Order: sequence, then C-alpha cells, then structure tokens
Amino acid sequence: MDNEILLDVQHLTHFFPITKKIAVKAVDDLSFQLRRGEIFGLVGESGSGKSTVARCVMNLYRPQAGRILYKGIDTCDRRAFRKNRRMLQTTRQLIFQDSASSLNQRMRVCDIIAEPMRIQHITPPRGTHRAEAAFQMHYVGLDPSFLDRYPPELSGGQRQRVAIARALAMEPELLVADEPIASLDVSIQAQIVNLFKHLQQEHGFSFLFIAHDLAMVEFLCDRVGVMYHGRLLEVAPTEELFQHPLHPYTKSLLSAIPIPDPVRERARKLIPYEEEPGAPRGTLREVSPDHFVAE
Amino acid sequence: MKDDGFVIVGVRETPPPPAPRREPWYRGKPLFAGGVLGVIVLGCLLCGLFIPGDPSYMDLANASAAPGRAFLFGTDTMGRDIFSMIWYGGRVSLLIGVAGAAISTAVAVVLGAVSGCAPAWLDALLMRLTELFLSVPNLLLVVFLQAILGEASVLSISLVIGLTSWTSMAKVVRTEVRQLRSSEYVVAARSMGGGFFHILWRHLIPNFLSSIMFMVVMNVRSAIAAESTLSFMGIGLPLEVVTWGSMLSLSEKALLSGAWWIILVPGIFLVTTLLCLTSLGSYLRKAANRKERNL
Repeated sequence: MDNEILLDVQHLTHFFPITKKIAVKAVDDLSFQLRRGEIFGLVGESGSGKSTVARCVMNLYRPQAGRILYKGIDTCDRRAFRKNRRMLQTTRQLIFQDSASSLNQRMRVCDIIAEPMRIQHITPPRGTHRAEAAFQMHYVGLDPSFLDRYPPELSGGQRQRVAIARALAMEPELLVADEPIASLDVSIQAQIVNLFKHLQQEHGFSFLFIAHDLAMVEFLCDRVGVMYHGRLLEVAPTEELFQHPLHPYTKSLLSAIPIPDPVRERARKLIPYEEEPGAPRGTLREVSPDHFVAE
Repeated sequence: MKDDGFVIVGVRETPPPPAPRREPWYRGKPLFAGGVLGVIVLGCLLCGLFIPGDPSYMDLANASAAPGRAFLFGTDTMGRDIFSMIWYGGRVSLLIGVAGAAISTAVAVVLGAVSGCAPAWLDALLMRLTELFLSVPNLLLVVFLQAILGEASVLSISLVIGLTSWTSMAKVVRTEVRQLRSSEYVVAARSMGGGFFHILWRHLIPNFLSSIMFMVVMNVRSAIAAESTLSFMGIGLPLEVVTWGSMLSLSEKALLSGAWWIILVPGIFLVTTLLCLTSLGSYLRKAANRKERNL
C-alpha cells in the first residue's frame, strides 16, 4: 500500500426529497479518503446513508453538494465525467447486496460475467468471452460447469461469487461493495470475506467495503469509518478503532458485538447512545495519527 | 444373547409415495387451434406445390361456377378459381398480419421503453401523446395515413396498420419497464456503461416479453382483420392483389347473383384463422398471468 489517494470524497451531501419542503438528509457533509490498495470499511446502522455514499461514488446518484475526486477527476462534474467515461466505467466496479436481484435471471452465467466486456467492446485477454468467463469463475472458486446455468439455479454464495467475478473481469482499481455479505448465511459470509481478502492481495485494488457486521469489518479492513445519520463520526485504522474507540457512538456500536463465549457474553453490557438534540455538528479532528473523531 | 446392544433408531421407514401421474404435455394447451392454424399457414406457404396454375387466371367461360369437381370451391364472378385464390391470398393476408404486428410491436417496445426510462416530464408527454393516438378512431387514422402514402401496396398497408395499432401495447411496455428499470441488474449494467439499446435488448425485453406476447398475437389477428375491412370497403389493396379481404370485396355482386361460395369460403377461412389466433392469444395471456412474477 502506498499513500497515493485514489478516491477523495469532499463534503459530500445528498438529500432525498419527500415533498417539496421536507427532505431526508441521507448523507450530510461527509469527507474521507481512500488510498490506493487499501480496504476501507464503512459501518453504521441501517439508514445511516452507507449505500447512498456507495451510489454517489459510483455516479448512480448525483450529490447535491460536495465533490468526489477519483484519480483527481471530479466525477460529479458532467463534463469531466464524459471526458473520462470509459476509464471511470471500467476501473470502478460495484457489487450489490442481493445477488438474486443484481443478476438478470434470464441470462446465463457466462453471459453475465462477460457482459461488461461486451458493453465496453474489450477483446477478452483469454480469447473468447466464454473462456474469459471460465477463467474468472475459476478465480473466484466456481466450477466451470456453472457456465451455462441461470442465476436462480445457483445458491446465494455461488451467485455472489458470480457477481464478484463480473466485477473483477474488468480488472478494477476501485471496487465498491454495498453490503456484499449481508444476505448470506454466516459460513458463506466467512467464505466470501476470505475470498475478498485473497482477491485484494492478488489484484491490489482499493476496496470500499460497506457493512454493518463489525466482526467482518475488523477482519477485513485496513481502516474503518463509522457513520451515523449521514455523518462520519470517527475514522481510524481498524486496530486503533477497535482498541481505543473515542466517540460515544462508536463505543456504543462496539459494545453491541456479540462475544462467542457465553460467560463473557452474559456479562456484556450495551452502552446506549443518545444524540444530544442541540449538539453542534462536529467536524473531524485528528486526535492521534490517522485517528479522526467528530467533535 | 445376541448382540443387539446397538440398534439403529431413526426416522421410521415409509414406503415412497406413489409417483404422481405425469400430466400429459398437451394438457391445457390450445391443441386444436394450433393444429388448424398450422394447417392453414402450411397450406399458404406450400401452395405452390399442390396448385399448378396461376391463381389470377380468369376463366371467363366458367365465371361464377358452383363448387364441383373442376373447381373445388367454385369460381368467382371473374372466373378465378377460389380454391387456389384462398391459398395464394392467404399468403398475402398472413404476411400483412405478421408484418403489421411486427411493425406495431417494434414501435410499441421502443416508445414504451423510452417512456419508461425517461424523466417524468418526457414520460408524461409521451403517454399523453399515446392517449391522443388511442382516442382517435382507428379506421379514420388508417384512411388518413393510407391517403398520405398514396397507392396501397402490401408493404404500405402493413406499415399503415402497424403505425396505428401500437398504442395499448406501448402502455403495457411502459408499465413493465417502470418496474424493471430500478432493478439492480439494470443499475449494474448502467454503471458498467451499457447504453439504452443494450439494456433494452439484453435486460428489459427478455423480462417483459412474456407479458406482451399475447398482445403481439392479438395484433397479428387485428392486422389481418383490418386488411380485410379495408379491402372490403374498397380502400385497401386493389382487386388484382388476391387477399382474403379483396376476395370478400366481391361479395356484394355475388350476393345478388346467389353465388354463396364467393362470400362464404374466404369468410370461413378468415374467421377460422382469427378464432385460432384469438385462442392462442388468450392461452398466452393466461400462461403469463399464471407465472410468478417479480421474484
């Protein structure tokens, strides 16, 4: 990992209008950086705006304010986006939460994996689209006999592997995964997270990993950001965050992790977190090297 | 004592349930309609094999001859053999039916998909235009368009029929596309850079085809009926182009002379074809409704 910043999110803000006057602030003045080759975890409870961040980063939503710099290109700027469209569409890839709906059930697995190449008119490095799909499937641990199957014939874990293979077929530099393991059961979650770790070491892509499972984040990520109501409350290297959480919300979140030991689990106490109604909207401040807390 | 300390206990063995009787493959399928339609279509396609002469040859000596050994279905007022005219005319009628339905389906799919994917204002505009089209009497539109295009030919009449019968299908396509366009595989294809026609062809059409299939069949039916209506009224194809409609247009003279076969034979063929198509169409509609959707 070097210190080159691949993705720089600056003051990102996104509202969802409910009526003309009321709007939901999904993401509110959020800033973070993602270095090249780093796994950055974004955690937070449901509705804290994690997925909105992912979709803004992937240009699926147009944020109301703020800038997203990818390799120094402002992707929210229409002109800059159009100029670098092909590069942006090939080097950034997205993995969804629910593989049942992110794969078209009327397409065969080999067509799904080869789809990005067909769209971008890239000649597959291994000859045919089919051979390339077989290679990518082997890479994510799937048997080539699945090539002619349809997604509903596969299990959840296998489907998610297909989705990963589709994303990796483009050799991305930035992989955004929006809760990729939330819809899987625990043993499959472990397999997929191990697969991510392995693939990241092989490919060296940067990885924005969104989850609400703290144990998985602790295992996989280099740095973690904690989100609450559309804001980042604490950003720190994983070990530092789990050892010395500073923000009360982070402490509360960490206290909610179940411990696989009945004695200690029974003694575990939840730390409740109440946001003070009049609390000022904190800005991130560096407390110790690389450890930022909202104050 | 025998060694019976170890006894396998477990689920009581039950005899396997008797295999359910296989449903015959043709159960519930419109076999009769399909068979009759198949005979008519095959007869029209292969009529060159079993009809030696020119169908428009006028045997004036035998004008208005009753059905008999020489002329199976009799001859018309101009002495043409109705048996050969039925098959050759069926070719043109079916061609107009298929071509008209194909044109209307193409227009409906493209317009419906554009409307379904478009922002709200364009969607509203397109749908109001569609409703405007829908509210004008169909026959009036056909007559206008035909007047603009000039001399009627097989191609122009298919075009006119196609261009006036896409409205209701476009509304169905639009509703389906509205549902499908937010599904994650469409979002994924878009973020990979897939264009409108790529998404339409690879993702949308395979998923909504089953729900418009019955309308396509019904459009074949109404195109055939529309051609007959127009020809009957004398604003369709000229008399020398043999179709079921132009054969029927001779009927007023035939009624006066008591030659029932001139009107009855093409009438029976036309009505039988339309009935078979309707039966197939309603089977397709039931099949599409029975299928579990949105899974």
